[in-house]
Amino acid sequence: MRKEGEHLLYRGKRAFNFRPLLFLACAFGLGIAAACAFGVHGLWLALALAAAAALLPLCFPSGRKKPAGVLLFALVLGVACAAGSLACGMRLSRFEAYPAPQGELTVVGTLEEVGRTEKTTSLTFGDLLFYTPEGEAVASAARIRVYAYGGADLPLGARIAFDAEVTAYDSLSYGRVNASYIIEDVRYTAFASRGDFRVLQEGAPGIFEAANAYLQDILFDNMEEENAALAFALLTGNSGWMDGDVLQNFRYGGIAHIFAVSGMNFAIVYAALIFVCKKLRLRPWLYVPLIAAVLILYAGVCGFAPSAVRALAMCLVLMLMEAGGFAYDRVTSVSAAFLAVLLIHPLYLFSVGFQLSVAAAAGIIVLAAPLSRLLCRIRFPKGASDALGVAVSAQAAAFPILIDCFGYTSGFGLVLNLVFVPLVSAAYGVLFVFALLACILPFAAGVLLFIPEYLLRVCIFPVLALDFRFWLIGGFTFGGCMLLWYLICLFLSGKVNLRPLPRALACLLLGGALVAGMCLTNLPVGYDAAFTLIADYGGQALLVRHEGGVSLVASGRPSSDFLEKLCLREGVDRFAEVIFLAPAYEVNAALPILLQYAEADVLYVAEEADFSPALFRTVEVRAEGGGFPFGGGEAAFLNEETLYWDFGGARVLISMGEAPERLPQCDLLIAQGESEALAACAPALEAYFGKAEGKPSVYASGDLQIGRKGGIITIKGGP
Amino acid sequence: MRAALVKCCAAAVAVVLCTAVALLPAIAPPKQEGLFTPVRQSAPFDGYLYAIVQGEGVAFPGSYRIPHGTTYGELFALAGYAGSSPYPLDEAVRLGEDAVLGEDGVWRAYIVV
Repeated sequence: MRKEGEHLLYRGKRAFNFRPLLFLACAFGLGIAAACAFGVHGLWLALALAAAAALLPLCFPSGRKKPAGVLLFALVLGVACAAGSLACGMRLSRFEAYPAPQGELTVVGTLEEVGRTEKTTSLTFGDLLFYTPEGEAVASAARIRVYAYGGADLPLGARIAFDAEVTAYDSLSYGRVNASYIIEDVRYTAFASRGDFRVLQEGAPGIFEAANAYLQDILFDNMEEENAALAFALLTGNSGWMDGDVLQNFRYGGIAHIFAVSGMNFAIVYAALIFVCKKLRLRPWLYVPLIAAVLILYAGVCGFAPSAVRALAMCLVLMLMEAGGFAYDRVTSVSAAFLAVLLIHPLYLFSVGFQLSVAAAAGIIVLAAPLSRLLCRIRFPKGASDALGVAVSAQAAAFPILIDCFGYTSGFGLVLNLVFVPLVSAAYGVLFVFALLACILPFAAGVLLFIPEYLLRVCIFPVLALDFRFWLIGGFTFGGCMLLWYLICLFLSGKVNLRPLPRALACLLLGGALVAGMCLTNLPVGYDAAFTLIADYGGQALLVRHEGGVSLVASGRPSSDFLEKLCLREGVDRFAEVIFLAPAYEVNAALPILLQYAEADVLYVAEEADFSPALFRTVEVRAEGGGFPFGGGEAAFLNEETLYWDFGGARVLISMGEAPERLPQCDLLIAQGESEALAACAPALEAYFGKAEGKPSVYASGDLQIGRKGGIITIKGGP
Repeated sequence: MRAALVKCCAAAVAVVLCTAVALLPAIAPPKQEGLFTPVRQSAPFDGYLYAIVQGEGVAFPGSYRIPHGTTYGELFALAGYAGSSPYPLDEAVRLGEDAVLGEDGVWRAYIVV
């Protein structure tokens, strides 16, 4: 029943509680997004936002607002939005203004970081000097990340020279903002082997690097290698020393986030420190700087990784707010932390780790309590309801981001997180304390590290014993529908103070819009037939779904990660037809990689290729010299790396390498990059996997969807 | 009134500080264009193939320009052939089998009945 004087739509005095910091943080974030989408024109959004903020309160009159206050806050919102937009635009412009010498160069730099990947050692150099083959020297304030094969035991802080093929990173590639490279100022990349490096001058590592190396030595000298790698990953976020398969199993289970030094780690360290400080009855003016110093040191030992910096900023802001007596509202606290992180670097907004952290924190704040109450109402024990409420709300909030960024999420992840994260958190707490003691008392490290080693072994036993690659949810993307998902969560949570009927209606409308939007995003609506171009640094592929199944055309040497992501993201576990446009020896190497993630019925190879069909028993290999049915149409190999495909009457030429001398005319050209030879086929439309100035490309716009309807072929892509 | 003034001043200082923190580390003219490049391009396509129909009982033998998806039945109707056919009449002209891709990118079918 509605009381007299109450609003028709909401209960009480207002629809939602006004939180200035939340609005400021959102305005700043919106400004950043606008700068990325529209460049300097994004500043107009600040004006629009200020105008909307000034006018919107008129729609919800409460009688208490003073016009001057409303106008002032609208102005502040506009300033925040403009500041976000300018901050982002300026950082992007500075990153792109670094010189971009490319090709075979001699590089001299100071070794600043050493990391590990599964097959290589990653070395990050700063203070760079490039020497071109002509002898020209180019200095750069940016950094280069070199992936070294065969390991590279080089001293930190040393001045090192090496020859390598240098490539410059762009701000955006394959439709994604290269947030971590921009944040870390890594503008260049190269591959090298162990023998390429020459130490010109020894140098001393910084205090943080030295502490990191000391911790690594202590752990690896006193624990079994496998356990030491796990402990080091948990403590510093560097999982490069871990076994690749074990790490992948953590990813499948949706629990690999424990190896990112993030909120969990800092929260545990902060909780331990604050407990000690409060037991010692220290005053805030003493313990705040003390704890801050320890946390900064810890972030430094973790190499100031983006996730660690983000967690540090969040932790410091929350500590300051609590110490200052402002921690009255969790939404405000998280908003303050969000703003602080974006002030450090606006591109954190595009960092997946940051997005997941904020989403999980916001999800817990908004959804956990109502979920827990709901569970209590159906006679769930209080403790179990709280735990389940927290786990479900964090998973629900992280779900669309996981799906869009990684292509899949574990359906079993909820249970694993519910069981595993508290266990690992406890083990991490013990490990942190004992590792700290072991560093202080290195002579007793063997004894001190025995307990955490034993605990860790017990914790990860299920991950070693079970294979979590099952019940993976994927095969679709959210795109812009993500916003609808979060709006539904918000309306369901009760944070918007709507009456039951308007709330139910809003949820129904949003749910309908979400379903329709997801269909539009994921199904080839409006086309007679369609296919997708997908690419990243690991490979290029064309995927077509038709009545006969799913067909794939891929480049040679696709990486394992690329094919795995492609299969999981597209939800494909069986290909009816496969073509690798590559020489026979590359096809020979690529097919087994694909078969790790999906079955294949038929592999087509060019007749001219010297390919031995007897090598694969589970796949039928057909060598084709003329036309053959493929992808719901007809295709013909023009050479090993070029395919001519009739796509329902549209003539498509697909080139993944060297094109033959004579090319037939085509309606659509699909190639890795622009070339004069390919221009001979006079296409009406062109689509490229790699960089192509002014032409549609997966590099610039992300996945491209190409469809045909009624004699018209259309390329669609981008946000 | 005084409390409100203090709050306003504190907020103004906070906004100025935040703006300075956000903008000062990278003094450079902001990027002019956005990062994302939306794509939407369309073009018509011909979708025709050439079929040469010859043989006994073909009333109008010759070369036909037929749209993609034309069935053998429709082709024979055009050519004025009503006799028995080794081709499946209700199926589209098979590109890989009966039609050959020319170097000019045109499929040509040579059908003798």
